[in-house]
Amino acid sequence: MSVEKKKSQQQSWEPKIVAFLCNWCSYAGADLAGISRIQYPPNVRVIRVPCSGRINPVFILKALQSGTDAVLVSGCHPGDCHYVSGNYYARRKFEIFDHLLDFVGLEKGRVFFSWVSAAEGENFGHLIKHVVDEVKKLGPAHKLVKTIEGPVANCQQTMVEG
Amino acid sequence: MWSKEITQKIRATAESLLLEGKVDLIIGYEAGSTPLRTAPSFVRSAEQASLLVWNPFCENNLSVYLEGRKEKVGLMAKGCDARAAVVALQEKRIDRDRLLIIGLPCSGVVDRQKLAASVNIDAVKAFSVDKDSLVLQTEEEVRLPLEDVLHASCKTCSRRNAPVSDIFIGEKSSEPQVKDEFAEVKSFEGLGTQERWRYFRELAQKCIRCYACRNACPLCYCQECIVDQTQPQWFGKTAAEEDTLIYHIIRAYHCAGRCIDCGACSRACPMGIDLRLLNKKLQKDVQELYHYIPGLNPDEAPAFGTFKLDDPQDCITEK
Amino acid sequence: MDTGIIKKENIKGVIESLMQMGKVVAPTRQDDMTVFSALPSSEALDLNYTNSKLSPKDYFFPQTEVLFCYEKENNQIHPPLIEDKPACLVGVRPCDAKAITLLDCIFNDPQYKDVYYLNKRKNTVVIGLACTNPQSTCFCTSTGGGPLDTTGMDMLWQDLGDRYLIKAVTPQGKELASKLFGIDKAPEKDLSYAKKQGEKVLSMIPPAFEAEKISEKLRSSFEDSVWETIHEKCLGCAACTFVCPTCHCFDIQDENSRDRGRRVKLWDSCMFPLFTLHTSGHNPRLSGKERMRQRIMHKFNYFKVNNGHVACVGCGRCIRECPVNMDIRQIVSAFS
Repeated sequence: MSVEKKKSQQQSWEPKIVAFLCNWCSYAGADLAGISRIQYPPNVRVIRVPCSGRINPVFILKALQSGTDAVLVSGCHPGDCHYVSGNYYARRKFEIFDHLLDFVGLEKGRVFFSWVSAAEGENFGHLIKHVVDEVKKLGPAHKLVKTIEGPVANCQQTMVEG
Repeated sequence: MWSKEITQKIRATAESLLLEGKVDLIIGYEAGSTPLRTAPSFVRSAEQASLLVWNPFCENNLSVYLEGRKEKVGLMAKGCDARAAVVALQEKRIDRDRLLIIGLPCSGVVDRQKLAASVNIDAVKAFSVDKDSLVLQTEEEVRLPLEDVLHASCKTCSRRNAPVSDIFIGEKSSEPQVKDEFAEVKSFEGLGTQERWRYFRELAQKCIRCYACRNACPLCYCQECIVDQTQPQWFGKTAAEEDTLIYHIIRAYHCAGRCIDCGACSRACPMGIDLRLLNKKLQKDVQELYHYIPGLNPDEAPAFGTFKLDDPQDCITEK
Repeated sequence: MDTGIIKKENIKGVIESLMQMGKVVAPTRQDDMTVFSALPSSEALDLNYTNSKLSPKDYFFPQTEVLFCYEKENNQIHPPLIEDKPACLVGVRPCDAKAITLLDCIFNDPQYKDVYYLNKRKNTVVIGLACTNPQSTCFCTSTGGGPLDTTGMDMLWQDLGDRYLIKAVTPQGKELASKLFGIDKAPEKDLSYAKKQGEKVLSMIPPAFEAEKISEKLRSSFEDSVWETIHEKCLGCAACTFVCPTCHCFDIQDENSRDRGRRVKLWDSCMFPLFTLHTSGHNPRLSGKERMRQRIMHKFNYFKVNNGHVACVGCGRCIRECPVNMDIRQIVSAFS
């Protein structure tokens, strides 16, 4: 691939980001951002969960393995949890998980955790901008990404009409 | 302390416990079928008590056999076996009334792989322990300092005696002064991101996904492991590096704040993978962030079953 | 040429001439274990080993094998590249070589042929290495093998100290021997020494049980009470099945991404509950008892009935690698 072509491909690449947002705060915050017509990059796909305590780190790993360039997890601020303490438990899980991913050598800037309340539409926009900027600096994800492409290349290139 | 006397006392205790009906089953160790091995033993009658042995090759964590037992069990417990039982009690996997912990004075178990580097294990006809030395009878007598052939998990262990026990046989072992049990983790943390990543990729390439680590672990008791779920199937079952590494990350993470570092996973691994590194890292973080050491007190809430209002939150992106 | 001598100083040249003919898969040292892998150079070869960590079965029957790939666009199916280049498996112990013939019973069934397996099998010459140093876990003599057994080999090499005695077994082996570099004629005294050495090694592996008798006995032992307790210490991992040279059970799965996918064949183990889990949720082999019984019955009874030989070659890997010292010799002896 020529250098120019590679460059143009890199420029045209847009990160795909999966955002797990809690129903009561962050999802409502995203909603407010929308209602208030706050502009933010369109790179996030939102998955609504009942509470940040619902986040199983398996979701994050699965998203990364499927080729997501970054994962964002957001819930209510500590003290504001709809279920009183779900986010406090979640905070311990996130903190430890974040350390673990760093330990195995996943680059910083692939997994984000945040608190966004239902009133923070503007902050939600800022957060997404920040995440997208960070991920763009890193480029497409490779680590932990499982590609089915590799073995296809090992397959014979003769076509059989199915 | 490894001595023939302790073995005799264990047998006598097991016999009387069974005769008096205080337990239905003693889970301990018996001599293995090949040199320098023991095997888990299930003793249900007083006559069988003479099978029990106690030596530096008692390497399995016997708490793995507690799950789902209906009988009243007497568990021969090194420090780590008892701590795993404490975690199981904390998590309400077993009834305290149905468990009798028989504490034993452990002096660390031998790493057979390490030993195999200096001795032909197959040629060993007999062995004994003389103070701090392991004496092996081969063509000639081989004498090795026990300290040199201990398993890595025993080298960083400072809880050789069961923290909770109903009976303790013999005198409690002196607890060694461990300079820094996390030294290895710290030096690994000091490596660059790419180097760490390369290390774990190589680890994943070595793994044959036999799940011996999971099944030997006393804390891996999920009825259905995440890698065995089929609806949906979360992760592939191939030997692909990404699938394998994710399995190891999840397993370690699932044991965070619970792992008592018995090293059973590492010893079970047929491919000789050092699985403890991930667990040790999590142990270190849980200790530093939440000041929690698992497996000491059955009445304490586990690290991830509780929280503090001012828990650290460095992972949080503020915007 | 039926027999010959290779001096150890010439072994590198012999391996190099094999490498010129095709891929050479042989024992190599990795960390503190010996594993079979494709030799990058003749230097990597390590014939000074007791037995390899894993059996060479994964050369013919890999842990993960792509059967074909597909793409959504235009319904394309890509069959995999069939390996049809000549290859040579070097340094296979008699137990493992014999195991290959047992795998043939499955993958070269008259009715069902595994083309992926057979293509490699057809193009591969197997060079065995006689056993000189049996381990405490070895019991090949109980399952009809021995340190000089040539079943499944095209050629046998025997270590005589500073040289290897080579013995061609099949026409392919003879053809290869005639092409190899640096083979001298074997003197009579080497042949008799080799025989003596074989007998000595044989005497070091006293039979642990009689396979014939046991398979006979197992036929009526499905409901035996022995099964109730014998599995008790088994943890239910697959260390035994994955290191076994004859275990051949596999699973077939489809791996998909959005627009493409592949079908893979991968090792599976009868020791896993998932192995027999039905879609309905019912599991006919619910506990360790049923699973252990299946493993033993399959090896020593069903396989024998179907293929005329027990599916165990006595390599002892399952005993060595078992985390809790389950000893298959003791299990089957419970039925003698």
